[in-house]
Amino acid sequence: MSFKVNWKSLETDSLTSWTKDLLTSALNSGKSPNILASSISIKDLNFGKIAPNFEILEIGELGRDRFRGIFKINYEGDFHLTLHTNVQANPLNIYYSNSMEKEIDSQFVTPNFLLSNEQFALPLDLKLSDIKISGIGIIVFSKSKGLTLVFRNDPLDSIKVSSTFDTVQVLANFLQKQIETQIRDLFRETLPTLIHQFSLKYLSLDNNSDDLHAHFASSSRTHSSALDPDNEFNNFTYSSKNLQKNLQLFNTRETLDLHIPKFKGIIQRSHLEKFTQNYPSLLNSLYLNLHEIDMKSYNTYNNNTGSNGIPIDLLINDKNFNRTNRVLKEISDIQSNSFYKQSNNNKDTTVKPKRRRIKYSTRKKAASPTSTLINDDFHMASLHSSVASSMPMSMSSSLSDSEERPQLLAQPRPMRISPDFYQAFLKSTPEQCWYQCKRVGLGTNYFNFATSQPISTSPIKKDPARDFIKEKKSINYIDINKVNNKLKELSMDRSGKRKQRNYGSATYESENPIVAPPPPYSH
Amino acid sequence: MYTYMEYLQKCFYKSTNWNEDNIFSNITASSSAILDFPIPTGFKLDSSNKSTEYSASSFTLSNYHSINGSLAYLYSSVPLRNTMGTKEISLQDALVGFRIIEPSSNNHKQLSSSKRHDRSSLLYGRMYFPGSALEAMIIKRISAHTQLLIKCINNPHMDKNGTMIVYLQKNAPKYSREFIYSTNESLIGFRCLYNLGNSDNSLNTALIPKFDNSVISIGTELWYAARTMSPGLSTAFRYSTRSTSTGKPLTMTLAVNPILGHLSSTYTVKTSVASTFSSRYDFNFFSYASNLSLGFELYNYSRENPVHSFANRSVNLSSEENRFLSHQDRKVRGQHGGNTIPIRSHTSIAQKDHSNMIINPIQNLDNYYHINPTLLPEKKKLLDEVELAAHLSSENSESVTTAFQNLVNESDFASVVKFSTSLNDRMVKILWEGRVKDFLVSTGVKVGMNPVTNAPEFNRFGVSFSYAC
Repeated sequence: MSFKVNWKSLETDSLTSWTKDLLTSALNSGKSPNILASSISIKDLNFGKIAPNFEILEIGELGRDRFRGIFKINYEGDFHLTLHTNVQANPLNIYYSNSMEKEIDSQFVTPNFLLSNEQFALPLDLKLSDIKISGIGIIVFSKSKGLTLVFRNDPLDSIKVSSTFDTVQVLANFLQKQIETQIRDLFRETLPTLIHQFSLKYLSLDNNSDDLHAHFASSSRTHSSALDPDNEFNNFTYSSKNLQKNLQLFNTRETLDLHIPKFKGIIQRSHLEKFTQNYPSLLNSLYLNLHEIDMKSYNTYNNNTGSNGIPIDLLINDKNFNRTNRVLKEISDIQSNSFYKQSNNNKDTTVKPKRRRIKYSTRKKAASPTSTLINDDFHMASLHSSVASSMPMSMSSSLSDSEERPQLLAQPRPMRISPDFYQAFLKSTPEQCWYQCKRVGLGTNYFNFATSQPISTSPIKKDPARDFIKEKKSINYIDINKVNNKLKELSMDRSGKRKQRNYGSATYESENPIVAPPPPYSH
Repeated sequence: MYTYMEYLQKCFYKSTNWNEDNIFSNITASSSAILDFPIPTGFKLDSSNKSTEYSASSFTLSNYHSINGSLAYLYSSVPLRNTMGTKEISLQDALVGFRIIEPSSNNHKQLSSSKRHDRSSLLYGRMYFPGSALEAMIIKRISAHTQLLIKCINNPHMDKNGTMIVYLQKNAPKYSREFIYSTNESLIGFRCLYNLGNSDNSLNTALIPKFDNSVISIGTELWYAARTMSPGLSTAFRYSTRSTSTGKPLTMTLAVNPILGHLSSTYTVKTSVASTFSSRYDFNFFSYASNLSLGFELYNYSRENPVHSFANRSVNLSSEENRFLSHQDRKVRGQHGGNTIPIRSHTSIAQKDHSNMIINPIQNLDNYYHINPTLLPEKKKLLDEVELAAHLSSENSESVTTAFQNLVNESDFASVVKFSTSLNDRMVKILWEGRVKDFLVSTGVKVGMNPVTNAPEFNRFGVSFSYAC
């Protein structure tokens, strides 16, 4: 695999000046040797016209947050760089400066020169050109450790050094040798450390711990629950109370304690059944669509509502072939509907089924394992979305309220929302809501604090100067308000849509278009 | 400002008749004291004590970079009786300033007295903490005109743990020679200085006041660092004289480095008792780079006795300043209510007795030369008169040069302000040194132009306190 580098894009003034600034500060950083009478400035910098060849030989590891690869770089271009400085030509002045550095307090062992140590600076222009580089390097990128670049061999093939002192052969040779060793050092030591430092800077790894310390003091003052939906600003904190609760929960899991602390807006796995009952699974939808399967048979299969398996028992036990046929047809209908994402409004335009796809470009979707799961299994996902829309009712009312159930079950089938609406929903709600809906308990990612994503902290109070932190949401952060609002909107939407859909379903039932059965279901 | 240990070293030199001005490295001492004075950095406190006449100790505390300090001890085989603490020391002695170059004429007198100092020695050691760096110095007089000076530092942080430098100095009245060897890169050096002109006209010194106080010195230095093969060479010429009319000393130097084509000329003049002005022009005839540096120092009289008394001095100077001084003196005396002794001006002397006194060959009143004919050697008969005149003149009145010099030496100054600027370096240095209570305080600032941004910035700033008793 090789890359074509768009080298011409480097020829911008801003980049050149940026590089010049960077190089100037790098060259003048630290203590300059006494032989230099002035600071080094960059007179001319040209990237040239010929791009380097960049070839990836091997990718050892590839992940969302890490990458390891071996590449090969070849450059035989016309890049050139001209440096300007002043060189001290009086050797006794250099001796004097070196000797003064060794002095403790004042001039003691340095002899008192009169005029023999007078400085005499010669201007020096140094041009580096005809750089030939061919090297094999290893790039290791890890989100937690930054980017490391190491060259396996000595990448510098040759370099042409021309200076003001070219006429003096001895000096020219000396400079050539010195600069070659310097550049070799640069490739071997300076460049890897520089790149590593820069990558750390841009990943801002070390900032996080600072943030935590800075805000922990303030958070201990306010003691507000992070999951308190009323206080929006306090949502971004690790409050000690919350941590205490989490610890308590953890302990109950460890010790099999029966007392499980309750979290606002969070459902324990032990109570999960009450939710999954209302999940619009295949069976649920089937039951609602047919209106004929008696309550008894429904109840028998009620306990395996979690799975989307085809209720074979229902088909086997039934002796009536017509009914079996209808059930089958209904099943295939539901499946194909969800598979093809047929919208109610225009049936003619069927959306192409979404194949399994992993998009690495859109990071937000790919970041959470649940979202890949959604991509894997789109049918499930659409079901979940309808679950999510049915959530506020179950959450606002008490969970054990059985009177509510018929109302819930009145929702006839998986919501047929257009896929783009689904996408919008997915984008607008934070990914964490999926944890809330589906993944509860210790074994899930929710309580796994050491996740792949770096944990970031957030301020306890809204600080205008630190608004950007709002963007960095904690993995434990659940924006319930937002979810609730969204779901309310959704339910409003749905109630509006329901009529339409009823109408649509009527026509749908009457026309009953023949759709190809979906590909075999893998469950 | 000298540290107390440097001051004691100078006193040692003085009491053993070692002429420091005769060393090549001090050939531009006057101008560099006014142009290149150091600025203290940070806060520094120096407390010293001369416990006996032979030994002294010093303790220094400073906060440059971090709090650090040093302990120093000094031993001298010669009793240092002429030293003073910071309370009573005259500022001219304590500070690095203009040096009046004495013609090395009447050394024959001192030779006899310095016999007992032939084997004198001085030991000095200083320990720095933290860091446990040491510095030591030995001055050993081998003969009346020869001495051995060894300086070494030991610093465990250095690559070779230390450096030693050895000076073998011969300081005769007419010339001085130095051989130097430093272990740092095996530096070898040779310096010499010759005084031109027949200075010791011993016969007439008593008779004729020395009008010709000028000293011409020519010197050169040669360096070679063997390890790095770096050579160095420079020559210098110094002309030091005093104005015959006013007695004000001035020094001109011209230093050349022929290897690098560098040329440096200075002109330093003590414009009055309390002020000195110096200028330096540097030029390089290879690169045509030039630089002009200007500086001055201004002394302030102390409040206790603001005007110097001329009780036992008859000064006949023509300058405005001395006229002012004499006027002041008269006024002060009038205020005190005592009997006012008028200062004998030249005119009154001339009017009173025209023949027996020679004070100044230039008559300031009418710009006319009045050379006493009795002094001419042909008049043998008047020789006794001449002797009498010489005796009188040495007893009662002085020449303008010595009068000015004594005026400078005896003035009680409280503080001094030094200012120096350099056009090419674009920097300004201001230093204030003076007596506060019993302390000698030195504070200064260096403001330079940033070469990149052209914005003025503080390069150095510091305060230094020194106490000695």
